[in-house]
Parts: sequence; C-alpha cells; structure tokens
Amino acid sequence: MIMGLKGGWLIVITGLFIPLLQVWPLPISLNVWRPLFPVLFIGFWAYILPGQIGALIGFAYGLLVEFLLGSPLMQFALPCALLALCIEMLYLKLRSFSLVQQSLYVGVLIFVILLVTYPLSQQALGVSVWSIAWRSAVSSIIIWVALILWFEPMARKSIFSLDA
Amino acid sequence: MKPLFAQRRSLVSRLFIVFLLAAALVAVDHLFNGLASVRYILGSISKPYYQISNAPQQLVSSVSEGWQSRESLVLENQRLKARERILKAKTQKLAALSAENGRLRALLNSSALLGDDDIVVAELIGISPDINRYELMINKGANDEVFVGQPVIDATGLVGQVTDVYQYSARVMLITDERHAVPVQINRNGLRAVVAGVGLPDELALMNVGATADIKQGDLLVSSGLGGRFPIGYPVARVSDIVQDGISPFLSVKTKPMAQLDRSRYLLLVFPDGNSQ
Repeated sequence: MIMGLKGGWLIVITGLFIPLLQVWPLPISLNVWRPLFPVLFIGFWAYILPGQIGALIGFAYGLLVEFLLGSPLMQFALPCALLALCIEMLYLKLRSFSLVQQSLYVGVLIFVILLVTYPLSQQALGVSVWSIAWRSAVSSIIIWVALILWFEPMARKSIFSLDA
Repeated sequence: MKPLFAQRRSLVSRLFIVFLLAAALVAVDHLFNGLASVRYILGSISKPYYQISNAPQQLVSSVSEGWQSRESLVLENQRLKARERILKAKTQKLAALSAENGRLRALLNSSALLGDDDIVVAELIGISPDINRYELMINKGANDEVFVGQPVIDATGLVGQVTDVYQYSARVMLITDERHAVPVQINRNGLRAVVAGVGLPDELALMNVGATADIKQGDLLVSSGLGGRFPIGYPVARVSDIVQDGISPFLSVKTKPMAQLDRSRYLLLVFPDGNSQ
C-alpha cells in the first residue's frame, strides 16, 4: 500500500531508520529527553498524507517497532495510532497554524497521549509518567520544528511532484 | 462503480477498533504468550540496529587502542603477567579450599555444593533506551545455547539474568531493574535475605531484614542459590547504609551492586554445573 504511493520508498526508508534513533546510545542526562521517534514519524507522515497514513498503519508500525526493540507491548503502538488519528482529525486546523503554534499543538497532543498510554504499557512499574510525558513532549516540539523546516519540503517533493 | 465521495469510517469507530486491537493483543500475549514467535523472529533481526548504534563507540575505542605506544603496551603486558601469576597462585589455594569445603559439606550431609560452572564470554551490543528498564543486549543468542533465566556475571559480581533470547542476541535484565530480585546471604554469617532492584543505577534494597538482624555496613552479600535460578556463591552487593527508625520492625538496608553495571563491556554467561554447549 505504502510502496504503491509515489515516493513511498521515502516512507519505508525513514521507517526503517527510526528504530536506530530509538536505540542510539545517549548519556543518561540526555536519554530522559529522548522523544518517542516512532510516534513522531507516524505523526509527521499522517500530516503529509492525511487519510493514507492513519491509525491502523500507525498501530501496525508501532507494534513492529515494539517487537523489533523488545519494548513493552503498547509502548509505541497505541501512541502512534492515537497521534495519527488526532492529526487526521485536526489536519485542517494544523495546516492553518504557524510553525510555532503547530509544533506546540503537536507537543500537547503527545503529552496527553503519553499520559494516557504510558501507564498501560509499563503496568507494574511505579514510574513518574508526568515527568516522562512532559520531557518527551518538549523534545518532540523541537524535533517537529526541525522536521517541518528541513524534511517536509523534501517529503512533499518526493510524494507530490508531477512526472515530466 | 466507485462513489466519488467515499464515506470513510468515522474517527470514533477507528478509535474503537484501535483500542479493541490493543486489548486483544495484550490479552493474547499475557494469557497465551501468543506473540512469542513474532517477538523471536523480529527480535532476531534487531541485532544490526544495536550494532550500528554501537559502532561509533567501538570505533573510538579501537582507534584509541591502536594509538597506544609500544612502551605502554609492554608495561601493560608486564602488569598482566604479574597479575596472572598472583591469580594462578590464588587458584591453587582455591582448589584446595574448594576440595576441603566439599569434604566438610559431605560430612554435614549438605547438598548445597558450590557448582563447577561453565562460562561463556559475551559482548555488550546495546543498552535499553527506556529509562525505566535496566536492560542490555548481548551478542550471544539461541545459536550459542543461551537460555531464558541464565545468570550473567562480570569480573566483579552478578549482573542479572537473560530475559529474552533471539537467534543471535539476547536481552539481559540487570539486578538494578525494579522487576528483579535475587535471593542472597550475608557472606560473614550466612543470614538469608532477598535483594531487589529499586530502579536506580547504583542501588539495591535488602528486603524484610528484621530490626535485630546481625548485619553491618560493608557486609558482602552473595547469591544463596535458593530458588535455583542463580548459582550459589557469586558476589551480588555490599551493604552501604543501614537505617533503623525505631518504629518499623524491619531495617532499611541499602546496598551497592558489586558488578560494574554501567562499565562492563564484556559479560560472562554462566552455565550452571557444566550445563554448557
């Protein structure tokens, strides 16, 4: 389905690259700020291709990353699906926002989604969900800005350019 | 004919489907362990990710090793040879002590003998990025007969146990993980207890130690072998702090792991009592 899209190769390549960012070794002080890259990836592509990259693809991709990295079940799958769903729902509003508003909006969405889903995936662990969610949201805001500034033009060009 | 404005499933119904799928998958995984084979297959192809992410660090260490001067290598070689001689001498004494210990235990009719464990060296290839889980990835897996529950040690003490085995790699849960506990005994007096992870990188807690227990700061805790998971006699932690509040019937005992959990690059997989490949 994705490979059938024009420029679908870019989605597949970025999808394969994302787990590498998730396992890249970081010092503990930086590791606590690591965003959930698979969730950002799905959110970004849902924003570029609303209606095509949606909740079910997000769910399937999140699940794949969980199995690949041995993460707890639903750590990525549910947030990916929920963010894709929210972006699809709020797509027109997001498009009309400035970059700063848009990234803040995405950050708040990620914060709320993590507050809901993180306790489900971590079950027995007495973790401070609040601190994890806000740190992940802040780093997601910064990365979203970078993605929209540098990666969005290339992504749109590869997906939507007309054949000569 | 395909309608021009196809009606897509409503967002609420898609949300419902997602939650239903999630609940079904969690149930299948918890009740029937039905996703184990999928985990095994996909986990087996995750090794390159860990190797690539670890490559810069390995490159730096190999380059720095390559730049060492001949003089420093000769010095290190001499130091290692001297250390080897001391260790050999100690091993001779250890063999005699081990035999004597065996005879004494036989006299006492005790079956809890220190086993003659086989050991295989594994290299660390990745660390779990999840800040709530203390887990490592090693480069030995089902191909090397690694098994779930296998004890892992380093040169200084108990590191943890294998929790997932893939074809060419395995996941190790560290003793500092909140989900981990080890039956131990105090080396000085044999007092039994359980030491558990508290989710901090250099702290373990000794559970349910009575207020009158004979325990001192600096006591060494070794694995007691109870439960059959960890072989008897491996150093686990050293008591670092004891607090008695006067109200609770238990002491609050903090310990520090003996193993160099955040520094060891090479780990040792223990095959208890020669259960090895």
